[in-house]
Amino acid sequence: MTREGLQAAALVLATMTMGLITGAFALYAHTVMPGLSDTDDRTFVTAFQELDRSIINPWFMAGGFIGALVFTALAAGLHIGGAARTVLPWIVAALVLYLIAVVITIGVEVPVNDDLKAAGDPDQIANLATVRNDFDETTWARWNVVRTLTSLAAFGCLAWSLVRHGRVAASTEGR
Amino acid sequence: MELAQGLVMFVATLTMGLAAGFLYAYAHDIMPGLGRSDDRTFVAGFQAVDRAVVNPWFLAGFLGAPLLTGVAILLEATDDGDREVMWWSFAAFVLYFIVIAITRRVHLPLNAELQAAGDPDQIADLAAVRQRFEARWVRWHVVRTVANVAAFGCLLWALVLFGRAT
Repeated sequence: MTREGLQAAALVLATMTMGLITGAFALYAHTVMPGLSDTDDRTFVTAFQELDRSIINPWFMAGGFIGALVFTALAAGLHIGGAARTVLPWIVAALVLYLIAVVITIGVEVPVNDDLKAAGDPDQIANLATVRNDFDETTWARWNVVRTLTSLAAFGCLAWSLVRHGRVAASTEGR
Repeated sequence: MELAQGLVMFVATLTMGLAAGFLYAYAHDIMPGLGRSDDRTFVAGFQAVDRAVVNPWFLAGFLGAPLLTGVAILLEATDDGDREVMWWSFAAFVLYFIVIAITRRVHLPLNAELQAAGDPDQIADLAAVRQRFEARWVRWHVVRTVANVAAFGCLLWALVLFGRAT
């Protein structure tokens, strides 16, 4: 595969995984959390625990959360030097924006998710309302909106860099 | 014209990506997660999430994706360049049409049926309600997710080709 082909492949994969992870964050923002917030404490705790256990799966990790980071970094690396460097600022911007989402996830969301799971079987929890209250779904949801927005911006930067990449590729072919 | 075409393709790709990510997350997270829950949590959880899904953000993606892809195709068709970009967009449109068809035929009726079962605390046989719903919903969901991700991929490639042509 030519260098241009590798660049295109990395950039398409980065944009695809970034779109998929942004869609997942957005789903939690506009549907899952508003939906679960209307449920009783037992349903909320049980459902969130199970959703959180399920999300650690290869499709999510490779096709979204980790994949977006790795493919964007790879695309950036492949665009260093040569005519392709005009695309680089857009990819780097995407990487920085997505890093914010990763930091929010690991720094804010994962610790409270783990606390909720550590509370154990909902049928054995004496005070479900307290556990739900400690989880603080309002704060969780607020930070989730922030990471959704930074991921969306990263997704936009990558989609635009696909166009820019095409332009550079065409100009170096002398078309 | 080229600017308009580029903008429409760009926004179409973003909405298609959000729609694909939405279905993808249901496939790998929401349904397996609720799937491991007891019958009452499954029914109550799905009902609650399904009630919340009819919101402007979701609809912007779900309906915006085909609408904007359609407009992009029209703009590409009036362009006198080569037709490659248009065909990739057209492929995305057809694939997304499959997503809509499956959603209307399979998922919306099943969702409506689950809502109609009413308050989970009043349902006599929760297991039966769940059984009529879950397996069929999940099976067809995998098909529409694959179609939607493929549609998204077609639009990504169309963006690269658009960049090459302009």
